[in-house]
Amino acid sequence: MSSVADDVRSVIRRHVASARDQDLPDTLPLGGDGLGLDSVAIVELLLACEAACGVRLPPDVFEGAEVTVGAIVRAVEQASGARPPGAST
Amino acid sequence: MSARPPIARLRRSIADVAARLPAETVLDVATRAGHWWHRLRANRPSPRELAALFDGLPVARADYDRVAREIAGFEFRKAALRALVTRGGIEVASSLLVPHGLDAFEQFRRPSGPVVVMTCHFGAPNAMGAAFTKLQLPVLAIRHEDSRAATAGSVVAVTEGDASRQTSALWQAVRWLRDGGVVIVAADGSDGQRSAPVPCLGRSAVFGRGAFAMTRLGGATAVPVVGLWTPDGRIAMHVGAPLVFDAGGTGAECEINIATAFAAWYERLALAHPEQMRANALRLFLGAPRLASR
Repeated sequence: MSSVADDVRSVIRRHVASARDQDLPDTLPLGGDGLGLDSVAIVELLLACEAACGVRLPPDVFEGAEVTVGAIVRAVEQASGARPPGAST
Repeated sequence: MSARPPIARLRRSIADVAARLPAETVLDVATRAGHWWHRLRANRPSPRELAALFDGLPVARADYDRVAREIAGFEFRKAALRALVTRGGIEVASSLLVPHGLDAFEQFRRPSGPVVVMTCHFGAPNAMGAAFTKLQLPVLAIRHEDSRAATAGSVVAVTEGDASRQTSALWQAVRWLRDGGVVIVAADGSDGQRSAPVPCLGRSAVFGRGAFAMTRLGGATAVPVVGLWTPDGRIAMHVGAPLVFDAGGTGAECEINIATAFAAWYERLALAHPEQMRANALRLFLGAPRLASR
């Protein structure tokens, strides 16, 4: 069974050509010096993550903070109620 | 010693006095000051600039002097209204709204689907915030800067700053729209990415991409709205027909179609009310490449 983190990385690789052969660490930004996506492409990616993971991300999910791979994983985990791997019960 | 502090004190004193006067009086004085300023320094804007922009378009050449003078008057009027709203709140602008035109806003109270209220920096400033506040309609306002005074009662997403702010504001707008809400945005905003060039006023013009992208991604109807000064110094809201565009094709093609429809509306607005164009918008158009044929 795949984790939310795997699902999110799979969506990113499917949608971003430059991400296909990358490890996509949690700290990698989607914009700027990271994957280089613009605002519209990042929002399209968030919508794709919502559709793939069956969740609804809240409007204030990033609040002006930089969107990273890890930030999307955490947001999807929170939205789906999933516990991150290794989290204590 | 710098001469600035006394000037700043003088400005503050004038603003203090102005804040105690009726808004209509202050705006009237500001407009006349703009006309005098234009007479003293006929470069805000010059009739020559108007000729360069409107040549070949249906604005009478004989009107250029009048339009240039009125643009200068409205620039001062705009600055005065902004100052009054900053001090006295959005209610100052709300009190200037004429009832005619506001009835069309009822369509935004319970929209049958997501709506982007697409406005532009034209005519009266703060008009959108004034109208939505007066009618107490829940909206998400996309603004360059956070101004509580100008947006009382609205939810605000701010775009000023780095790309993260713009991404965050765009996400908020798309989420809000997908939940069936109403978003207000100026399509000629200066933050973020630019749209593809589209024809407008005989030029190849660019607008802000965000308004068109959120319309596409939110699956929204785009309704153009603007607040215009009336001859007696009040503000009338003008709600246009929803923009008609082909939503098919790629995302980029769809956004160009929306931008083209918006530009056509903007052109009709500018030709009908050239005196209410902002001076900086006029100069942006003058700096844009001319189309081969007009």
